[in-house]
Amino acid sequence: MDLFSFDDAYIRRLRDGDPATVGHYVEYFKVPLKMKLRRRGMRPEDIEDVIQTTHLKVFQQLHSAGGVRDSHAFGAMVHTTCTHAAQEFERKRRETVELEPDDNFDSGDEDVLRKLIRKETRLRVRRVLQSMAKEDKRDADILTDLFISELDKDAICRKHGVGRDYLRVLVHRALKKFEDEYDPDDS
Amino acid sequence: MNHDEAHYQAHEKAIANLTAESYLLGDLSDAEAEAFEKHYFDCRVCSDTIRAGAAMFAIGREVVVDPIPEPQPIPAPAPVPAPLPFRKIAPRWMALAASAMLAFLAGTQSPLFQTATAALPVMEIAIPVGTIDSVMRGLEDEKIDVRFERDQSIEIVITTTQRFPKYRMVLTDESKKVLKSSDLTPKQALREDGFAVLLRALPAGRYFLALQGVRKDGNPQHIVGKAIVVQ
Repeated sequence: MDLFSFDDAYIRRLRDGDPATVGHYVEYFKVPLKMKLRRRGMRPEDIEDVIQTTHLKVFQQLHSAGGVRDSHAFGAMVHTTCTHAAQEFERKRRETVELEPDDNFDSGDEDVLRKLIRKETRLRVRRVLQSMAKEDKRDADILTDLFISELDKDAICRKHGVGRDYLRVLVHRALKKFEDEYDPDDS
Repeated sequence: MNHDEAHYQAHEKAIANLTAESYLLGDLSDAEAEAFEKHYFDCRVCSDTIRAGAAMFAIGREVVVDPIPEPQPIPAPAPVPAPLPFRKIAPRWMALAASAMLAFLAGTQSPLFQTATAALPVMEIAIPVGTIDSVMRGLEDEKIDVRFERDQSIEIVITTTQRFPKYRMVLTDESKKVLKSSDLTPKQALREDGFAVLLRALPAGRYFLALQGVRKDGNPQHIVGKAIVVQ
């Protein structure tokens, strides 16, 4: 099984600015980069800045003399680039004095495609919960708690009398169901 | 061992140990998470799993918090508190949050809140929210859509490692006008089980509730925020 997301041809197309490849690149790394930066405790508005900087540096690297040496390790290169961009951003932030908070509302602008994906995903999640409830109500309850009380997993474990390993297995099963529930006609 | 061999080995290990699931649950140490990220950024299978998991958790919270409404009898107005719908999920929440709620409400009883709630039955609903450093939090800042027929409590747990001498809850309206602001001591804000704010009924509109850390120099730093849409 080919586990690699990228190959030499992909890197060439990306470097040449092929629109479909550039679009795939941006979409592919959207979630991983956000999750990585959230894990570092960055603010949502800062995350967007760091992601843009990361993309800029990645494309600079693509066009540099060295280019990308190993296409199979392109993702790791993006990861490292993002780490450096985040460190640089955090260093600059520490040096500046914030005068006022810049809390922003969500834009509320959601294109039609995203709305459809969202609707379809909601249906899939409901089916996962329903399916788990049929098999074992406790599992559905645990998953519900995980969705809501995501931060206090020890309390969830105590409440349901399970261990952390059980949570991992439960999430694994839920993800399998979630993937199996994919039905393009739903949207 | 070359990179490709290392990649396959890392993948097999990740599958055997359910590392993607641990990552989604926030169970990995920083070093473990970094190592897994370096793998899954290149891994077609693991990155698909992470994307699916992130979407499932983000939407799952929305589905659970805002399920499809089922027909229910209209409750008769009564001055006594109604049953807590989320009590089953967070039984310890109310007692722990009471003092924090009072702290937030004290001294800032605006006419807006008072008049809006005067004729309404009191019901307190715990809506736990995530924090920005939780990987399970999902892809976007989810909005809380509220049909403000009653008071709303919002539970907040701080898990960032950065500490501040003071914390501040700020409620702003769409024009970013501050409607309410209340300071919290670190002891109140950093409770292990979190704390909660109680919002009185608000007129329809968009609001933003933010928790800020107040630095020694007095400047606030955003910690976590939640858009609230009152319908």
